[in-house]
Amino acid sequence: MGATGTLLIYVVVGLTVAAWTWMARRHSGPWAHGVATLAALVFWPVFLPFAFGRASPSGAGERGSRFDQRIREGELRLERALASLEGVAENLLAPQRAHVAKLSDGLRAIARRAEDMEQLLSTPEFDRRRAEALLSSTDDDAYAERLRRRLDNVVRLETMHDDAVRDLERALLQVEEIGSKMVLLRFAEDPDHEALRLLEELSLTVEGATEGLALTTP
Amino acid sequence: MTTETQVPGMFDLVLSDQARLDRLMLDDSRVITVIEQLLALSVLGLVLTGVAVGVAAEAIDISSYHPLAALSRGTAVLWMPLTAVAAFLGALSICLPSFYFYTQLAGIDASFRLVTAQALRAQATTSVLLLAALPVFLALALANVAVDVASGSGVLWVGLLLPFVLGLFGISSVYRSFSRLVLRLPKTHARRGKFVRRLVLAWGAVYTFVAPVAMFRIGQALSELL
Repeated sequence: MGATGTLLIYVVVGLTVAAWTWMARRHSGPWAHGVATLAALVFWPVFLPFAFGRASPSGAGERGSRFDQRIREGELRLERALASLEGVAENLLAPQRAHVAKLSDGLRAIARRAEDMEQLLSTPEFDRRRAEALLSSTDDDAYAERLRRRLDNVVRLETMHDDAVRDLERALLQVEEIGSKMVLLRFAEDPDHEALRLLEELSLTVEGATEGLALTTP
Repeated sequence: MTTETQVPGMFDLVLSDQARLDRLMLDDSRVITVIEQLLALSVLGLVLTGVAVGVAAEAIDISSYHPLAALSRGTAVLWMPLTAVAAFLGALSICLPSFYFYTQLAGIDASFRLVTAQALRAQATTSVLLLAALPVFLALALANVAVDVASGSGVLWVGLLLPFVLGLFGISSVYRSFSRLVLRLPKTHARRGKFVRRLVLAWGAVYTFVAPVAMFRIGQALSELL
């Protein structure tokens, strides 16, 4: 196949990807719409994965958790709140972007630990009903004693799990609240120090929760 | 002010906030905008580099027996920018499946989209650095043409090698990014040793092999047309 044939195939595939881009970006402005479509026609190999590929994996670490979406939303909310203060307190707040990422990592660590506990609680060894049924049906004292110790462990794990979920819920609510407060800071008299204070407050909550679980933020 | 739907200036992100760029790449609602901006930045840097090298090639006399004599064919200022864009972005496109394959082999379950974005990050970082280096290159070329203090072929070699040398900074930005993302991305299998370093070296090796060949072949074809 010569250069003409190769070019023809390139253009045909390019037109397909450009058509997808035209449809997918129809809500953009006319200029952005046109430029994106033209770019897709010329540089279609770069756009192809977006037309047919799978989405990016979740940012929750090595395994996703049911809290991923809320943590991601909270992170974006704080980032947007910090961005809304640009021009008001940007010098003081610029380093805080890294801090927000660290906080999110802390929240993800708690979420992962809570998921680990849930998985453990779903195993037969930590099945409370099964242990209670066995305890009520046995006449062997030594076996009953072992079952009681196992039940204690199950209760302890359930308490730790509930604490982790409660701390996580509290931290996520605080993220939402602080995100809203920070947006309003743009109109405050001393926005930089107030924003730092809010972030420190959030840090303390997350650190408290991670320390409670004997975790350290990465 | 950066609003909810806007992506911050890509130039600033590439220069000073690559960690934030990581997070934008993982955000499905904004990754396509990120890709477009990285692509625009890459094209801008490559076009201007091509124009600068083309202008230098037009101005500097090269003997027809010199290895760089091909640069004096046609109108270099026209075909050189096209060659730079087609060669570097074409090589990147050709290498994308290999990049994805190496990433999976390294135990990082990155999507093809993320791999594409990372490859463009390397090119965009290189382009930003090229924009910074171009005035120095043009000063060198001017020094040769005006007062003959620099070797003509030496200046052209600098221009041709500049994207490859600065590309090392681009690939190191990908290394730093994967080092950060490795904690967030799912893993495909157990990983040992410095797997991120090996992964990025594999990316760099395949690209370094393909890009010069693409540049030579595309340059050869376009210099006969333009």
